[in-house]
Amino acid sequence: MSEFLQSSLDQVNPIAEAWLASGVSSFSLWSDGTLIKKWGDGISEDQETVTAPMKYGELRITGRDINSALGRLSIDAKIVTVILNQENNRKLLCEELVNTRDQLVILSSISEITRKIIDPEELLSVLAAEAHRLVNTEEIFFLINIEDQAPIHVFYPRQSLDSEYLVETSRSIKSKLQPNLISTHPYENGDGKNRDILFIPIRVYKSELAYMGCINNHDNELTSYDLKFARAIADYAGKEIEKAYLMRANIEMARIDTEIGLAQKIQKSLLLKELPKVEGLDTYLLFQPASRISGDYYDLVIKPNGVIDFIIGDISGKGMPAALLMAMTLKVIRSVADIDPSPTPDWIIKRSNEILYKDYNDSVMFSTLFIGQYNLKTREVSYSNAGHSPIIYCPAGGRAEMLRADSVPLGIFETQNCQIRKIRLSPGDVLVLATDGINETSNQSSRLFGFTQLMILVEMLAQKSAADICEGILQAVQAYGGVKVQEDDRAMMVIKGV
Amino acid sequence: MAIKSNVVNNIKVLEISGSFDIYTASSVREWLDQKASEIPANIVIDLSDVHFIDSTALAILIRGMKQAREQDGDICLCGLQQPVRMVLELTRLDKVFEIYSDQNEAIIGLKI
Repeated sequence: MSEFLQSSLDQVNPIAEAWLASGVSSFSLWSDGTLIKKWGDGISEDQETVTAPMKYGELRITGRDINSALGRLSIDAKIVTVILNQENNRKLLCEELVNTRDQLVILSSISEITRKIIDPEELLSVLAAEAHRLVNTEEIFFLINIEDQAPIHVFYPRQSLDSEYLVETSRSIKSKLQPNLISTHPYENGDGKNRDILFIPIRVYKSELAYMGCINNHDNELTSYDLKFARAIADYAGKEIEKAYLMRANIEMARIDTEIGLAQKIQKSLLLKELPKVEGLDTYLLFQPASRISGDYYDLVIKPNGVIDFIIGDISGKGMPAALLMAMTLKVIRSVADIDPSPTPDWIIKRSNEILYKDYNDSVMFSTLFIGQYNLKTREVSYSNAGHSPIIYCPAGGRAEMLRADSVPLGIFETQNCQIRKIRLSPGDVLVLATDGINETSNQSSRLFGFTQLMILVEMLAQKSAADICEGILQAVQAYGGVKVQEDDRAMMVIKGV
Repeated sequence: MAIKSNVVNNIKVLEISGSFDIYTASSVREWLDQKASEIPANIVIDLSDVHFIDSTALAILIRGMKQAREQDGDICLCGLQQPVRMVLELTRLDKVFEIYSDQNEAIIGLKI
């Protein structure tokens, strides 16, 4: 107080001089019994002293016959109070402005340091060090607990309290916190000293998911300046944490996108773009993946001994796991099918299952698989169907029928027991091999296209070319699905005897 | 999709309702991972209220069946609606699971 009064004496000068000019011996300003300043020094015997109290202390005058001056002195005391109030407010405002300017300058320099940091933990380590430098506190900590992210706990310059204790404490006081309010929690540590832990809530994604904390000995209180600064750093930390997580998410998405792009390239290189010409057959291929990578696969291989293998399959599930297994499966089937002499479809399926079983079992996945072998000379088709959607077989002028699976898909059991069956593919006979993305197309009412409709359609289109049959089926399925987004991959091979 | 579980005569029963597919199957997988490894591992999966099933869901049921059989138990299915039954028949997985018309039949069947 006396410091403030000393610095404000200029404001009292005019009043003091007016009193001296009126004939008093002295005019003085006192605070808490201590003389702050005396104007005039006239001292003589039988002098009187008149005192008027005010907010900041009291005014005194000395002189002869001055008792009647009390009224005027009291008024001056009120005037001095008003003057000193204004002076005090001015000083506080200046201090506030200086503090705010300091905060802005410091936050600006912190911002320069942290703007390139995208790792949230590294960011908070830097902020903790800066906060420790600027706020009168012994220890700083940050606790971040965001859903689906690993928790982050940062301490500076040391960790004197258990993380679990701090997290539990933050949970227990959370319900008592209002936005922007902070609370303290006394904690008795091993050395018997009480410490205060200040939890400052940090809003991340508009909810209180984090805390900045200041730990002080009980007798080392934070000033209002420290609290304001700590709050400013906590608010800044909240925004930076959000940015860091967003940048990390964007980088992760870009990485996943690159990986999917590579997987897509590999799949495209594995799958035929169109079917090769085969003597005695009219063939057509259609492939519409539902997304960039697919679990459907197909192949047509012309072997030197006049045998054509046609293959179609569907891996369970979606995304990268299905795409990886698709590539592996097709490679294995091709290798097994390439063994000389030409193996039968059931043998290819059984041997492929032996090789792939562990991979499918470990991945909790399976693959449907249909393999047909067409003999150019005899026009006979030997086939085996391991859990795949029925193949539609429509003999020329006849009724369409389904060639159903007689064993479970690949990867279910260690051994496969599919059988081999035979049909003929004479001129005009049609085979439609498709994955379930065709028959399981659903309409707005969630009803499936189904095999009954598919067989009727194949009968109607059977006299057309393989390309027209394929396109006709696709158009019908697309019309059936309407505006619904395609949910499953569609692969279809039409093979017609000519 | 929703799941509800209880125990009847020492047999664990899981009732699934809605669409049982890649987007909803994780809760069933977690339940089966736990229950199919506990002895006794006899489980009834009630699909009466399931109107759609996909290959991901089938793979999860198969995994659960293998886990249960490793513990000398088994999984059976009951209450299959026509679309679900058809999927199992077309993939021949109807030969892998015992299939019953309702829960009571399934519980009796597992106890035998």
